Amino acid sequence: MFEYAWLILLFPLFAFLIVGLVGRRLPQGGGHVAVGGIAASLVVSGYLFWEVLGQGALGGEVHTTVDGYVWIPGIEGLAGSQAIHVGLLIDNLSALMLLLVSFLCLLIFVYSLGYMREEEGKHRYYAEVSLFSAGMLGTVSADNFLQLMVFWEIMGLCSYLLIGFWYHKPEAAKAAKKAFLVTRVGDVIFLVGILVIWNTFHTLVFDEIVAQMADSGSEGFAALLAAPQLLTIIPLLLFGGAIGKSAQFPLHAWLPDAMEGPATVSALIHAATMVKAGVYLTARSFIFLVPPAALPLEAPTVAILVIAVVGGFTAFFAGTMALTAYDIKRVLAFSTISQLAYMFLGLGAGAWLLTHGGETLGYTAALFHLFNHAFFKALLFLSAGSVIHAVHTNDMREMGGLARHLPITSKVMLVGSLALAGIVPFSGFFSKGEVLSATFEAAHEAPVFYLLYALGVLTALLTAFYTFRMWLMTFHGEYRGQGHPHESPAVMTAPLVVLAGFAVASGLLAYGMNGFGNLVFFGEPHAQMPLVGVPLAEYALEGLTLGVALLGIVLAWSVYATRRIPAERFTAAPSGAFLHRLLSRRYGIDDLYDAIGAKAVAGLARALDWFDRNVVDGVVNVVGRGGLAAAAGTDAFDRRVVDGAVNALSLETVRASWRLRQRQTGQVQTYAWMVVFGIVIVIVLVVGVSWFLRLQRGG
Amino acid sequence: MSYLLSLLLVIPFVGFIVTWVGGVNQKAAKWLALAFSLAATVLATILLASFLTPGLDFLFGPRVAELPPNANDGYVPLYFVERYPWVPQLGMNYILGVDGLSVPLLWLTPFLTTLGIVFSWTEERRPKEFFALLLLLEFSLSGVFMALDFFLFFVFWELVLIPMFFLIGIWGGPNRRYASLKFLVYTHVGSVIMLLSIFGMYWAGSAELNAAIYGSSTRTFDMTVFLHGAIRHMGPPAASYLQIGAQVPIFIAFLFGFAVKLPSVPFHTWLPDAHVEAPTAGSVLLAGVLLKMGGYGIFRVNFGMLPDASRDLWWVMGILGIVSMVYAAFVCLAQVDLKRLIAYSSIGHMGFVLLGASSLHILGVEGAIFQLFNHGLITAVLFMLAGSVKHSTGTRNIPELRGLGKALPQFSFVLIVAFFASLGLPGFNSFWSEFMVFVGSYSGPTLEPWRRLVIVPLVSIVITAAYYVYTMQRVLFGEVPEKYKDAHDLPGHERLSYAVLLGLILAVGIFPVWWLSMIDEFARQVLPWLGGV
Amino acid sequence: MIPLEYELILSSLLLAIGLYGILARKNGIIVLMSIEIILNAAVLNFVAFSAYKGDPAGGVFALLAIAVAAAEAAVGLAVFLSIYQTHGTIELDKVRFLRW
Repeated sequence: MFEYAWLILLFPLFAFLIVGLVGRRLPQGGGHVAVGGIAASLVVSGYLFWEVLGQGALGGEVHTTVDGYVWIPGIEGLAGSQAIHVGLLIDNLSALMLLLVSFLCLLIFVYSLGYMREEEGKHRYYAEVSLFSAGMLGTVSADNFLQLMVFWEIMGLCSYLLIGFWYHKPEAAKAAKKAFLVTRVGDVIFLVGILVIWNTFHTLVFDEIVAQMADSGSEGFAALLAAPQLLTIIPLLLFGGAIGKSAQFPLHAWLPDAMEGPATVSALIHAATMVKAGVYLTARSFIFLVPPAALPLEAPTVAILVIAVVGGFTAFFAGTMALTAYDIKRVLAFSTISQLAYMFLGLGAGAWLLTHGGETLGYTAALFHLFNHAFFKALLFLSAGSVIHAVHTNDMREMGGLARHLPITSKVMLVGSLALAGIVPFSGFFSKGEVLSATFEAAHEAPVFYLLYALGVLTALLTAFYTFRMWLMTFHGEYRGQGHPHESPAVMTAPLVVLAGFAVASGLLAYGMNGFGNLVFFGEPHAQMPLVGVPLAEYALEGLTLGVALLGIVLAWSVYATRRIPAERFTAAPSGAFLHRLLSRRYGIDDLYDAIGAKAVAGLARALDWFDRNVVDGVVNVVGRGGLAAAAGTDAFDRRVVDGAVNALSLETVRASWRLRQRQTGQVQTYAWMVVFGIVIVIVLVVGVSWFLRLQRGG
Repeated sequence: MSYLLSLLLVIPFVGFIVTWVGGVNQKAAKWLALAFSLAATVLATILLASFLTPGLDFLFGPRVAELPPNANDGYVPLYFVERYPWVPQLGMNYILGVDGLSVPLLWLTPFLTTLGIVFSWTEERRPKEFFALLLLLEFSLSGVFMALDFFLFFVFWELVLIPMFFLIGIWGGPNRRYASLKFLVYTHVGSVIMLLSIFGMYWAGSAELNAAIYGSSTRTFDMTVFLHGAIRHMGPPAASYLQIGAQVPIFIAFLFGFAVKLPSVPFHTWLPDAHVEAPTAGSVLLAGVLLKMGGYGIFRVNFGMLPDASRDLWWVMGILGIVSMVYAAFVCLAQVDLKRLIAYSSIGHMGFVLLGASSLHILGVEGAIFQLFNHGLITAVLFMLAGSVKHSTGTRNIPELRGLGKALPQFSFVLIVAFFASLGLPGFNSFWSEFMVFVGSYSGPTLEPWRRLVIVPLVSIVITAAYYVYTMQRVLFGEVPEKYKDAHDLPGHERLSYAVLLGLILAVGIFPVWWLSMIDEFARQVLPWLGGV
Repeated sequence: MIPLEYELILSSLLLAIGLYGILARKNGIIVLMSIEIILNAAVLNFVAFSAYKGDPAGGVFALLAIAVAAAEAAVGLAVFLSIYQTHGTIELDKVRFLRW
């Protein structure tokens, strides 16, 4: 039915091939081909989304698989084992994600046409971003875990190449390496998760796993009953992959460095692709977190709590680090980690609610936040790119007063900042409030969620503060840099304006269509699921969040605009200075990883290399030398004894010949004498023998 | 009786003689060698195609398995079999035959030889001998993968050493005499111990088995006797076969011979030296095909003929494999010579083969066999890259290289693709084999109590990624040093070799099932006692 | 008819004279002549037995031997001539350069 959905993947892939092969010779390095590819994807995604909606997404759900081809042949004898194949899962979530990803990628690609105009190696850039978008589109439409991982890793490859786009910069090389390796750690955990899933269910397809968990006669059902801890282990392992990709604590270290690439790449990684894949994976792993009722096992509360706690903690943790960053993109990077953590918090709270008889509120809220965050974070990164384009630096200390020079950019960035801070009616307000409401509701059952809720509210304060610190340092006051900044061209500002529109509207839009929850939900559809909670207590919660956010903005205003509260006073105090240093050093975690990577691993590697050269190879060489020594001994024996015998024999032969050849006098008559003598002997013999024989015969 | 396989032997051998005699100048030698190896490649492709589709059957007849007497009792399907008596008094025969295990490797042999010849297009040093020896190497390697008589197998196995010894010893680097001698002596020790176990099988039960299978009670070196005997022994009803007491020592001796060839830690130290000194085409064939002899032997002999011992001694292979993977990955991280790094990475990747074998699970074994093929393709590119960089910049020393991303863009592109393929990124072929090895090891019946140990080799995945990414950081990134400003990028004949190989790597990576179906058929029919079948 | 014994005795005498000449005389020419005498002793035997048995084959061999002897004498004389030219002598105890 949805076979044409393959086109969504194929268009950017073709664009990748075309740009990669002949992009060098195309105008703009093939940028138009990349834009065209993703635009075609967007059209198909839009049509797909329209069809999904038309088939009852509002209050119902579409759930269809589109077959592809086989990767690994199945194992006949194993029950439930099927070939590992490629296939597309078309449901509400994937249709929405496809639309979101292709739309944001299109805007970012269009923006790139302006932003990357002056760069060398544009064809490389456009080929890689096309592949990147194909990777994300494949990730969100995969119908099994392995396919998800395949595209997930393709994204990893592209992020490596794009972060290292300016390969002459040593920091870029280092950041790319870090991004790849840190996410690789997560990927390996993810891979283990896949192994465990395969061994339990002998399939990796989402639908078949769900079916087996609900079917008491199936192999997976029996395996789960035999080892109930699998239900906890599997989602935790999958979450390990999500942590790596979505840069959650403790694998968050790569994301703040990842902005060494062009700003568009950061927008791509932070808004539409890559980091969102982790959230998506965790949303997909709800099939384990919220097992079907037919499975007589307790829900994996430990796994759920781990997800929620990691989310709540990382939200606060990353928010604090954003407070001291001076790099405009780094502030945004920390805010991405923090906002993603909200999503994980929402997913954790949602799973908790779902397993305790609640509704799908948290799940929906988390994905709603993903949806909204995609718009305003893309907007913020592209605006930051526009600023950097104008002033040629990332350092906010060399900016200031840019509102006059960059009127459009400053306004759209203000919209983005308000959305990020969560001010009504900008989109961030709705989804962040929903996540926090879900957390609060979950706390009725598990008090630990109260703590997480408090952390979440505190983070909202921090978010508003650092967001406006960033905006004020950039656009307010006097310009502190060199040169004359000027506004970016229309090809860059147009996407910004579109995104600003969505940053305002995406929350209201979903609110208007009876809530996002009618579109994306887990489990049974509830008709008319309003997104914003009805109970009065929740309005109070929303109010609290909003108030905290406003407080943050006021604080930022008084520190960075009016300077009523000078920041220097804080850093002058010893404890403040220590805190500042701690935050600037990012709690020393990067240093720790560097130490592990550069010192411990490299040291072990050098030690093993030494071991290999000297011990293992040494043994070989010793054996070799032993062989040589044995050979030398044998050789001596051979020379002295064996060869000695031979030599003695030959020497005697020589001597004998010496004596014998004395007889060769050269005197003809000597020879003649010998001939005669021989003849005489012959005659005597013949005569003698014949006489003797006759004597015998005759008797 | 088909003559396809003999033709695959005759062509490179005739090519060897013709090139040696007729290669009056460099041009004649390389064109002659290319013509013969291309002809062999075409034939091998036809053979490969017969395993994938019946479309080319009109050339050499359809693929039909040779049936032994009483085939209903179970038999190992072998295709295109040729049998001629050789020394019948001693039970030696000229028997050739292939199946899903050997065909991918058999195809790889002339294919990589051809690419090696193309890559060495500008070889000026004694070209006649160089190209002729490459063909002799192709001849003997093809023989190893086809021979179904232990004596013939051993003859080819040893014959491989001779051209390789001269390729390293004459066209090698500065330390070539040490390396070539080490290579020869070390692998020869392995072969001799293997020879002992061949004689063990010859004396231990070949007469009884021959009587049971073919009704002739003479001793024989015929491998099919053991293959059929083993499968009848494993499948119900269990026919009598070599006692486990005889299988175990034979298994260990064979495994030693194959582990040296593979190579597995701690029998690996001949490999880095041999690679570092070998000429590029020699390295390509050494890593691409020659190492695969060890993996082929494990599945053909240890698994195919000694199933009881395999089931008992899986842990030996498991330990060797895991140690190889982790150890080699760490050692790679400390290397400064690009070629030495690639050599060690080969050791690590061959560890996957042993780990997959030790799983005794069909997916693990299929993954291991697939890994042999995939590694052959990828490592060929990697060694060619080491040759190219030496050619362009005059050094392979990683700390001296910098900024090649700008100086040598084509080279850098190939390097990035090859490195990511080698570290097992999805979309490239080796991801599938490594994934299957891990699935097999995790699901295998053997690892039941220690299943979580599969985490240990997974560490090597991260370390593998680390050394490749670290190498790229040092080699490709950064400003271009003055001395590499004028370095020339890939010449045309090298580009051709790379394009063919990268295309194949991607094709196999995107459509792995083509190759897997062949391997799957082999594993299912020949090793039905594996877990998961 | 002369009895066979007489002819054989003559032949033996000729052989003995020839042997004496070969072993005792130093002059190369004389040694050569002695060889001819031995050959003639053999020829005499051929002829004698041929007459005795009435078989002409012996006569044929005699003729052949005479022809070979003539050729041999020519070669021998040529050798001695050559030796004389190079060494100035044909005394056999002086001509001893074919030794170790």
